Amino acid sequence: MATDTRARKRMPPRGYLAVIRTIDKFTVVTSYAFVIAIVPLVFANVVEVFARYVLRAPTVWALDVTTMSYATLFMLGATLALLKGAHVRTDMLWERFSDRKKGMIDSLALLLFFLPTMVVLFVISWDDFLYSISIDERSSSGAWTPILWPLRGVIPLTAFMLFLQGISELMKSLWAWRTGEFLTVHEKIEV
Amino acid sequence: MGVNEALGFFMLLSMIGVIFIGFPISFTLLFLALVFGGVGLGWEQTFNLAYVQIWGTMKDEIFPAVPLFIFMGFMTEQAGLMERLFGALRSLLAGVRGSLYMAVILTATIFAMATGIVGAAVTVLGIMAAPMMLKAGYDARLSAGAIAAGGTLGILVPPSIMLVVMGPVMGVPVNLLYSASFGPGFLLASCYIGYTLLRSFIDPKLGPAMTMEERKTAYDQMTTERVRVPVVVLGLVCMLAMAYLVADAALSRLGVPSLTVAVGPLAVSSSALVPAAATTYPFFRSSYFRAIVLGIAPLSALIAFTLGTIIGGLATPTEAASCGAFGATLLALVYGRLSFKAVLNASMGTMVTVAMVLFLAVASTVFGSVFTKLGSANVITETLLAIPVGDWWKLALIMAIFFILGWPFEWPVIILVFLPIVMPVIEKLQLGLNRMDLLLWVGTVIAVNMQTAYLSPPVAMSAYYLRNVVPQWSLGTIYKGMADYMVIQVFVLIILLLFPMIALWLPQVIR
Repeated sequence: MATDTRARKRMPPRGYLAVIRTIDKFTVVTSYAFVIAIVPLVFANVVEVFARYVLRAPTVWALDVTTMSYATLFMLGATLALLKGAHVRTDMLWERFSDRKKGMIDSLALLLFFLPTMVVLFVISWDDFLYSISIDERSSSGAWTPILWPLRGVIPLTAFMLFLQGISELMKSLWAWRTGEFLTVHEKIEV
Repeated sequence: MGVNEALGFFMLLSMIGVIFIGFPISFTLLFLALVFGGVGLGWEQTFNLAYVQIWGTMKDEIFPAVPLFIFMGFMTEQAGLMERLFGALRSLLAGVRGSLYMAVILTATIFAMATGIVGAAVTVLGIMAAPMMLKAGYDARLSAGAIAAGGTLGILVPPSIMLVVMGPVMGVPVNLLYSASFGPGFLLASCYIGYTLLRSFIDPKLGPAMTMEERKTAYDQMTTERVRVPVVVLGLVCMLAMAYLVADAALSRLGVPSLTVAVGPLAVSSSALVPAAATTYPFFRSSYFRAIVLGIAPLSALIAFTLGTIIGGLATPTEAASCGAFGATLLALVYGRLSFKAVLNASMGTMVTVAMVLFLAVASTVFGSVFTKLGSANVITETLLAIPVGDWWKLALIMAIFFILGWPFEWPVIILVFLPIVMPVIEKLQLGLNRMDLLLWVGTVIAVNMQTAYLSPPVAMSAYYLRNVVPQWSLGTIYKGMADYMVIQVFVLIILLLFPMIALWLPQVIR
């Protein structure tokens, strides 16, 4: 997203850059879709409080809607956080590394840790997702009992999205390892 | 120690080694947990364990409050309420020496009660207050420290998301943890204020009072601002409502018989209308009326409502947080600052921040459960319990370890990864308190400890943010300023360790 295109920089081949840009774009666009989950998250409980204290008739769906929108928001938001470089790192040594060294560490970690973990996560959650569909699993947290497979599906979807974004990050850090220059600027956020 | 326990320690050591190099912590934890768990416990069991833990975090009933409080903070910031608050406090305090320090710290404290993160507080205060402090000839070191330290209160004072995350880890209700953190939070804020005022009184050059000219400009600025009708109405309603509730509480304590009106679960006596109106009336003629009605009342009402319902046990943190987020959005609307872009920015910011914190929560619960299953956690507990010192010193030792861990690590790592490891030890401490009081007290001590970590120089992000918005201050000056306030932090930390009642009086009053 924040791809820096200053002229003096060495730029990777067009195809290489196109893959990175496509993946990043995909992540940003899907994130715009997922962020809508915040609307039901806010309103479910406002309506619940209103219904309970003013109308004296609590809703049956508020808890399930809250769980679903909250889980969607933070699990699928992890992909955008990866793109923005927001996942927390230990800065003590990191800040002092050269860009080339940062690229090397990230490349190795993404390749050896990150991508395999996401594959495993996808495999172990995919079965449960299919099983949930096959038995028509229902939520048991209230009287509403909505279908549960969309929520089960969030886990493999997260793993898939993170894997995809991981490939883009790997390509960026490989480039930084080779040339010592980062293609994107990551902003650190503070909590 | 069997093979599995040794494997667990090897996992812990490799975790510390790998995350020190700098790869994102949540993914490292997941990977290590899967690999070491697979080797020690069998792959099938580890994968099931991981899935169950992830699913459990997704179904958590308290964590939904985290994104909501973050969103509430972002919306309050978008509404420009911090600027108004600061402007109001600045003109109210104008005559005092070191008034800007006080205004900065008070603004930060009040704003901290509307947001759950440190986030933008330091940046906004830096942009807003630093130019004024520079112009008024305030001491750079003291000013930088005041802004940085004030900004960190957001993570300590309710609705801190750190306490929401800590509650389930320690097994205490979040509303009690919230009420326990008020004492230390206010103690810290008053220590900051006391320190800056003392310095300014001893040496007026450090923080001169506002000159008459400046006061006049500030006053003119405030009284000539065109304000739209809804803003005034909102301010008045909020102020009247607050005065009304206070008057009602006072009347009911005096035992005045009265007609009661039930507003939701609150029974409010209508006879409180008279004293409420009487207390607010003098302000109508005062020149500070605008400052209070427009700058302070709406935000205070939002805070009082959100935190009041949680602490009073009327609403769950999630419900109160939703209403708070909704209320903050309404405030932004009334102040004319609500746009699609503002909401989108706040939502995207919320999503990224919450994903960072809670994905780490997911990863560390997986890591923690594998660590416990391997049996290594027990070994640590038994070793720590066998140390031949008194229980108070054990607690002090744990706090010292956390203090040191706070330099390289940020709070999500310490609360989610390291705290569960020492939790069994904390629960077994015998300090003459019942279990709940003990946990609440230790929880707030840890919270203050983690807040201190924000001011510890090598990786203190606040310093970089401040440096970015106030180029006139060098990083060295900012660090020196932060170090001064760190001394205050350590002082308060020790006071809190010696006097548990600072944290426990409010929870005990409520129960």
